[in-house]
Amino acid sequence: MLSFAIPTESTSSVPRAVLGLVMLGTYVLIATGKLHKVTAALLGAIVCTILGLSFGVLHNYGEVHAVLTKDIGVLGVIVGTSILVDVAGKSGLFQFLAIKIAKLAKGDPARLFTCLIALTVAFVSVLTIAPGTLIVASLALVLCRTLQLDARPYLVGVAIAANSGALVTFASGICTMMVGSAAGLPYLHFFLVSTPIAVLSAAAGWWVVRRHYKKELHSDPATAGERAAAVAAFDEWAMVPDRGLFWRAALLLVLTIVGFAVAQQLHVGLDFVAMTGGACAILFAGHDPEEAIKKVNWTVILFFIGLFVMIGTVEHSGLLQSAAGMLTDVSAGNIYIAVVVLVVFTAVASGIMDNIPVAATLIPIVSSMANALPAAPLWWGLVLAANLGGNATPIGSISCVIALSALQEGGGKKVGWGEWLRVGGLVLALQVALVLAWLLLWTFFDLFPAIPAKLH
Amino acid sequence: MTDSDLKNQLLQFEAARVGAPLALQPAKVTNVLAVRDGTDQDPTVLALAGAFALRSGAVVREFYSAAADPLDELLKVASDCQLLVVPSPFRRDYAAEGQQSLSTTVDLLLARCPAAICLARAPVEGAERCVTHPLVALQIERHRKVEATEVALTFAMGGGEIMLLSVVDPQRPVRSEEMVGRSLDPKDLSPDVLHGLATARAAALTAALQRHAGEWRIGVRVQFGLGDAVKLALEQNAKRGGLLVAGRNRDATTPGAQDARRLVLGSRWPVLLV
Repeated sequence: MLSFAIPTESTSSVPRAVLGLVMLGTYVLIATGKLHKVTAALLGAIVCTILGLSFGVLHNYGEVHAVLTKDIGVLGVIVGTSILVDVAGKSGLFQFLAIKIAKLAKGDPARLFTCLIALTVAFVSVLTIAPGTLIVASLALVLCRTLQLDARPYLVGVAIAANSGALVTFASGICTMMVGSAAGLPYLHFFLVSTPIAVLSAAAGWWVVRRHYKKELHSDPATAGERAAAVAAFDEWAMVPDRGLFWRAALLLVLTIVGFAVAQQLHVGLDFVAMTGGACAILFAGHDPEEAIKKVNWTVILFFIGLFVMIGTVEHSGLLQSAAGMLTDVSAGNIYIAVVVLVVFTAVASGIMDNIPVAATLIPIVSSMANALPAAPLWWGLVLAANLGGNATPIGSISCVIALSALQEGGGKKVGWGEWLRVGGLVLALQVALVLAWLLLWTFFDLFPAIPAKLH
Repeated sequence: MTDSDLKNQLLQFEAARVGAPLALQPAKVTNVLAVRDGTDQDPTVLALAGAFALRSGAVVREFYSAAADPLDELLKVASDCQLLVVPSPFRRDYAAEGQQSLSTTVDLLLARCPAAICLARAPVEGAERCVTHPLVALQIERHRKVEATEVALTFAMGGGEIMLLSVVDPQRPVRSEEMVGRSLDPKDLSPDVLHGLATARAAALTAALQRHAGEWRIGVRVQFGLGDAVKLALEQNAKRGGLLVAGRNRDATTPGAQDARRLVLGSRWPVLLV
């Protein structure tokens, strides 16, 4: 499982400053898109390893392997769930459900909008953010074409709701998995702490987008019959290429979710459950295993490897612990102030750049802060803000990128930065307020479930 | 996530717009005629006819004639039959000539007989398994794909599995009306779009079969491909070892009839032309 040990010795300020600059430079390259994020992260890792060994921050090369070994759990969860999700995607199970649920709206624009938001949260919570968004965004676009509706409200709504869906369970989002692993947050705790806020934040997004696009979501009663007939022409069974696989995929997904829920009681890691689910998916899919293996999210994995090595080296220099100390000082040891600072900073940073490096960098900082302050509010604050922060800008999260490129490619329409900031900015402000109220309330009444000791 | 993933997903949902549901029903088969020719293909013909009858509850009748040209007699006997099982080549050695000729009798039968015709080829071990696992090549005489699927359904019902094979051949022109009718850009003939077209071509049948699969107790699999419909059907069925089912055009000069002919010549498994 992911864990960041506090180094017993700290290094001098020069190596810290140099390594910090390399990390910052890497993040600038990632945020500006000057280099592909995987290339930037791997380059950052190489430079940091060389500098770390030269400065004596890393005592030997074996420490690089030790950094990666700590993170093997997250990588296992990503590999296992990618395979499972690919097989489930090919079975037509989610496409079937998507059409079935969208038909409930009978072509009414406002009801369809609500159905798609609910669908997004549900699908992302099971499939993770990219595949979940892809399915719902595509359906939204096709339905909008059929019903001759403006696709913008639907796609913007899907992009925003997806970031809420990533909070529902431990395995719903990459950031959620990273922070959950680092903190050792049990799967079932997510249903208590983050699922309610996922629903509330999605509702906030639904309300803001619906209000902003009131005119586009207005329905004309005169054409209700026509619209209902147009939607009824979609047949969900046409999406199922293999009925046997359809049921096997459904069963495997349910078993994997149950496995996640009972992993702690079984004394196994979530990566074990995910890999078992992935292996069973390959075994029972009836497809070419090579096809399923190709669908593993290698971009994220290589990105992680680069980031973890780079951050691990910077952590060894003691720089991140100093940052944690500064944050603790700013909050004067007050957990309420610390939570507000952490949540606001994380949300803003995640809006500006990919939330994965933001979370990866903040994990060791929060880990250090947790030595002086209660850990649970900080960890949960990081989970919630890193995911929701993506709503700030049109490039803040993968769901925004997918939905907006679908809108442009398939619908020929664009949502500019100005339009997005008016909608997403307001959504994020509301969501951050909700998250802060939620976290401060739980802290005040001491409601957070105790975080158990991690498996080693 | 690539642009191709997005395009594929969009095309899949577009394909699901099938309009009015297809009222697919198993075909009625009450009389099966097993046509013997006195060669070593007779046991295969009888085994297949028996398996068809068992699956459909039909009555099997045997036909054998020593006449030099048995066609007229055969057509007369076959007039009340819905299915004929005939060896191909007729009265010739399958091992020597099976890949070269269907035989004159079979050619004339295909042109004149209104019933479905199953052409027996190499010996089949486990005839019942073979007829309960049909592969329907939808693009071979595609105007008959519904009828072909209904006949395949008759024999697969009650524990079998149907595979629908829907393909688009990039070498053959695609009608722009077909593309426009399915919300596809006729100018975009990229593999993603052609794959989407293959999905759309099978969508109504897929939906009709999958919806009632539980009630009919059948497994349904749909396979899509780009390339020559005959070649892909033969390749897919070689892995599967089941009955090949395709539409039939009684006019031998049409491309559909020629494809069906190539399918039979290339197959070692029985081919049912509907």
